[in-house]
Amino acid sequence: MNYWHEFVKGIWERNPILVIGIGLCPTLATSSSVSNALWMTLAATFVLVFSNIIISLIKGIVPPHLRIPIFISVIATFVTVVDLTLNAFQPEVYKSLGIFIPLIVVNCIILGRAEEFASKNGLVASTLDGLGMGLGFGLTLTVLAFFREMLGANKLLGLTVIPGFEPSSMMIIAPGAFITLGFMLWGMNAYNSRKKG
Amino acid sequence: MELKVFFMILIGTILINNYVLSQMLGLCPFLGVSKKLDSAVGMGLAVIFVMTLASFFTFIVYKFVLVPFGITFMSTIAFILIIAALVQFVEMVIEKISPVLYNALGIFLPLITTNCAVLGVAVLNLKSGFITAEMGLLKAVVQGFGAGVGFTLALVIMAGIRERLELAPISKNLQGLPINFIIAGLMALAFLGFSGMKI
Amino acid sequence: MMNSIVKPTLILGLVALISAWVLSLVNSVTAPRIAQLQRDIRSRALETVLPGYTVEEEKKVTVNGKELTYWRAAKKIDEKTSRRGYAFIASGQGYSGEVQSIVGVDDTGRIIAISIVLQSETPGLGARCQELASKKTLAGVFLGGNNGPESTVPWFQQQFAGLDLNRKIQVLKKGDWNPDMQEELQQQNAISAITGATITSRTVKESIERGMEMLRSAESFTPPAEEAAK
Repeated sequence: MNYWHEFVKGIWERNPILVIGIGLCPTLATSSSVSNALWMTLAATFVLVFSNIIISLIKGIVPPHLRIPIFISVIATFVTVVDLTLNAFQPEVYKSLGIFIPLIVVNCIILGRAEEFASKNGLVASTLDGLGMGLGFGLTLTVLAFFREMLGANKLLGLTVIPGFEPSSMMIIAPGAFITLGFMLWGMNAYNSRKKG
Repeated sequence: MELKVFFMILIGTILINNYVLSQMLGLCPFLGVSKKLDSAVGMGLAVIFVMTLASFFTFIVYKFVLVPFGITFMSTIAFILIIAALVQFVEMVIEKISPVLYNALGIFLPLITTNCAVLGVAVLNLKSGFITAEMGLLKAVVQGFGAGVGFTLALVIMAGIRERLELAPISKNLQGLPINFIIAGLMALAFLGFSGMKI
Repeated sequence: MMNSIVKPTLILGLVALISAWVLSLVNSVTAPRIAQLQRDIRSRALETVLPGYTVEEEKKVTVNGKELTYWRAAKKIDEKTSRRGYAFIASGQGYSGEVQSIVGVDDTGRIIAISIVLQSETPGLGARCQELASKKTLAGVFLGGNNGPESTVPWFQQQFAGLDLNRKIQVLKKGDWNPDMQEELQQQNAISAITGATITSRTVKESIERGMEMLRSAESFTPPAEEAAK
């Protein structure tokens, strides 16, 4: 088994957002600023890695027809851990991510990886897969957030970029999110088709 | 006065804070099931149904089970299990009662469990403070219904546009997801117009 | 048949038990901190809206079936005289849920300061009611330029300071607030709405006026004009 490959595949080749096209809601909703994006990445990666670990450990004893409910319970447990911890120790972050913390439960990336990978592979491979997928998710999110925060708030990590420049607040809200991701996917398609042909 | 509040919740969830176009919830089915108009309508109806029921049951469980026992930290787990069970149950009931409806909605129902808009409405009902509000249950159910209608509206419009788009000459790299996102962005921009509306 | 129902139920029950146990452990650590944070937010807000005052008691008043929580406070001016101040919780329905603020008023009915403690408005629009007018710039941080002093009161909330609640507050659309507008706005007893979030701005203003109406039924205020006449 090639562990390195399990790790890096999530970043580009099987990037959950850009290639597989899942986990879109948190991607768009929490990329309004770079700091939101980074915290979301941290939260989602934590849940992804630990649920992958637990699921790969219990995969032998889980009855097949009860797979999904048990996986969801495991994921929901870790999500609640994140939710409570952020609420207690990072109240600002908790407030700005809002309902998207509990919604990590239904992030298809996590259940998808549990079902597709962790329930079939060993502990080390599952951990690396979780880390790689989390990183791929995070990178996409951060790039998206970089453009949105810069154009929409004229800020990066809360700091003004060009003093006196009037930003277009459309980029911060929903339309900007959709259009930016649309352009990102377009760019990726263009890159891939150029590489091929 | 009271009636106005419900009207506000309804307009708010359908148009102003549309779950898909302004809160960015439920995007996977929004992009996945919007290829054909009739399947979009089917999915939309199933979502309205499940969201309304989910609002009702999660509210009841939160207020009368989780709060009295002091285990509100279990809410996420409880909600997702309620929704999963509800979807299964609805599927079974519809299959027994109306095979016609089951044929129309059946394939969409399992997809709804992982539709984040459904869990979203349950969580948002808590955040909106309906638990302690008077007539909170009714407000939560109205919010659930409105959210479902808003989702359906966005889905149906999207499906209508995409059916036309099949005939449009779109550059190869822009086809598929990229153009859909850009359309969704333009739709969101249009819906933004509602946010100046004074109710 | 029996087995196929009982066994899954037991297994799922076991999973739920384990997760409940884990979560109750986490919760026992975080719950006191979360409660503490909630109290902190309120006490810090009270300090902001009633600077120099000592809060004496928390009271509740019910008007037309609606309840208002408010605080009586006093500020010593010299040995003999002291001035009364009040703070109350104003709450209104914004676009995506409740917008709650704590408002400090003096005994003439003039706003001392407000602090928005709860809101879930659209990020980038209504949520800017809690935005600080930061002067820090990216270049400034990297190149070590002069960033100037930071304000600690969000600019939207700052506008309310000094407004007279005996008159109607006006909501003007003059774009985002800047220090140059201050004088003109004060003269007109007005605030400038957040760009693209007039409704949120209006919600805050209306909730304050409503709260003040209720407070009047419990406490008496002397408008500044009458005070001058005395």
